[in-house]
Amino acid sequence: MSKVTIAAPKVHMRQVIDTLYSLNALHIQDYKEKELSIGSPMQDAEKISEMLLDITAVKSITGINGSSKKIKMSLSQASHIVKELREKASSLYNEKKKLQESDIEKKEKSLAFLRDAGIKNFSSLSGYKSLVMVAGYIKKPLKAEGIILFSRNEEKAPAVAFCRKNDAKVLSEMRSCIAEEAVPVEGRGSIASAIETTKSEKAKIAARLAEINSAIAELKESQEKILSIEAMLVEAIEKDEAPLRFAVSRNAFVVQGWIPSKNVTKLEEKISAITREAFMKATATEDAPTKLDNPKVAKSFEFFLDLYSLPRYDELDPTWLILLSFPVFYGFMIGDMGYGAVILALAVLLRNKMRNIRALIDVSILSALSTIVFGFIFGEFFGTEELFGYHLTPFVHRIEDVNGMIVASAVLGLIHMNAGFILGFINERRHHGIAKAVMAKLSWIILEACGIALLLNTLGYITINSTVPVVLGVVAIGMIAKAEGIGGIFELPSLLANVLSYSRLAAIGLASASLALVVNHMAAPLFAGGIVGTIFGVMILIIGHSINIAMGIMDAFLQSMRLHYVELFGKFYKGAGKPYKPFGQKE
Amino acid sequence: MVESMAAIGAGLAIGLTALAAGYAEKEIGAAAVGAMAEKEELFTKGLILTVIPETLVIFGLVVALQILA
Repeated sequence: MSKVTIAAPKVHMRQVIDTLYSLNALHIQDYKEKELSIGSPMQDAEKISEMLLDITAVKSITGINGSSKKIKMSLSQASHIVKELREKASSLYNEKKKLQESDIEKKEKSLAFLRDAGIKNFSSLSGYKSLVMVAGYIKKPLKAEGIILFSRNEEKAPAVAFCRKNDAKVLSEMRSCIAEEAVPVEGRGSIASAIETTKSEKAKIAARLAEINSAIAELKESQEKILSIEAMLVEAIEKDEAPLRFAVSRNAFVVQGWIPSKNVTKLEEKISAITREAFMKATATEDAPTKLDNPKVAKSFEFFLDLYSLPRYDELDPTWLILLSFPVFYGFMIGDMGYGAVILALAVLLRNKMRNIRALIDVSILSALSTIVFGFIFGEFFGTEELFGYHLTPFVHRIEDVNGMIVASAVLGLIHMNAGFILGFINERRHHGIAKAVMAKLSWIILEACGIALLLNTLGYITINSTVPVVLGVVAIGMIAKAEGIGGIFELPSLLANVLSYSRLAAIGLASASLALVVNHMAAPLFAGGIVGTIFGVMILIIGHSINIAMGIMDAFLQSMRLHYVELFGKFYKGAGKPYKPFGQKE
Repeated sequence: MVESMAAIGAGLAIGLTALAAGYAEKEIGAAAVGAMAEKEELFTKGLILTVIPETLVIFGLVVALQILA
């Protein structure tokens, strides 16, 4: 990347912005200093924002979504179309909402209640001087005298009851025996005709709602148009608001940013084609934004960096290392040909369906392949040592040779960690020179080698004079203390802890293999028990192995990820890079 | 006698370390979820911090296997 500074007269601002946008390569750095003021948006910006707001409203009313290529159209023409659509959509929406909120159903219900309570006319409900009315469903039959009731006097029956206003006792009984409902007392004529009117009103509302819905659906037909206008407007607003990121004086403006070095000459040519009064300068840079550039196989493994933190521009991209080690760890943990095949099948099936987690699925496919390879090494197929009648001879027997597995894990861990130290060495040399790199990173490798030599010597695998590793080790510790201060000394035991941490590879493998065995042992005796037994046996096999596979996938993934993030990245990775977003890039 | 004591020791090694790891993860996990509720990008950091105490059980397992071997 190169850092470029472009300065030009203000009159050419529009052209420069257009050029930068179509080049789609300059990551603009927002101007934040105080000497100059920032630019203001072009004059159309406000109008375009309003139009975009209208489009959002239309989209949400009609349920349009997706994206489209931009259309070429004048702003006023677009504005005309957008306004018309917005007005149509809004009025339809408002009417629909109003109709939906009308309480026609409630009205229908209370009219039906009055009918069932034996009321024939609205006039029976009001106009009394000395009577009070209580309406509702009867909780328990009314007994007191002096109650006028039009309907049956039994539990749950709808009732409208009257009594004398000054007869407090009867009134209180009525109140306690009837669960009150609010009923409309206003109205004219017979209840039956009111019910008829409501019915026809309801039918009218339903018909109108259907009309509105089909009108909204019709609006949806202009989806392509709306989306293409939206694409055009989004581009326009991005261009119009670009000056907010520039430094502007009375007659000129300055824009700064990063651009891939191979594009510098192209940009220079384009800018000088606009005006000879423009000035451009490109310099090498360290604090540039980061864009990961990996071959296609490794691309999906960038997922782990996206999740964690992008490397800084001047840092090594560890994606390829993750590509090598992640599937190995994953396969080592699950290590079963059958399980690997199931995971592979699942991943291949879901690959085209779940595009949003494509990277994760691609990682799973590679990991599943590695699982099958390790399954072959461990001679396991769904926990058995048989594959379609052939006996599998394990190269390593996982459950019996636990110590061997732990040693193998530790060796994998040492390789992994040293890869981290080597990357750290390269990073450190790049930033602070070879001396610091040797002191801070090589020292750990030396210390490690000394530790291993001493261990092997003690265990009797090799015979060496132990003074050499001891002296070298002390020197290495001194170097660490010099490079990292007293904190480095406290970090020393973490070396051992990290190596031991890798024994989770063996431990999870052991758990997975044992669980598979247990499932098989549980199912085996059932197969002797006729058809019913066989059915149960198959069920146990399917359920048991499914659970084990699900746990295996999750555990292997998380643990492998953790080994990378904690044990590996701790050795060299700083992260906190900012992503490269060129001006003109589509979302 | 020695064998049975060794078996108990191995059990304790796993059990106690698992309890310890669980206790530690409980505290970290709760805090991590709280932080995530505020800022979703903290998921990875939270995850990493949450699984750090798992190493305790692994140590316990290694010790147990060594006792039984």
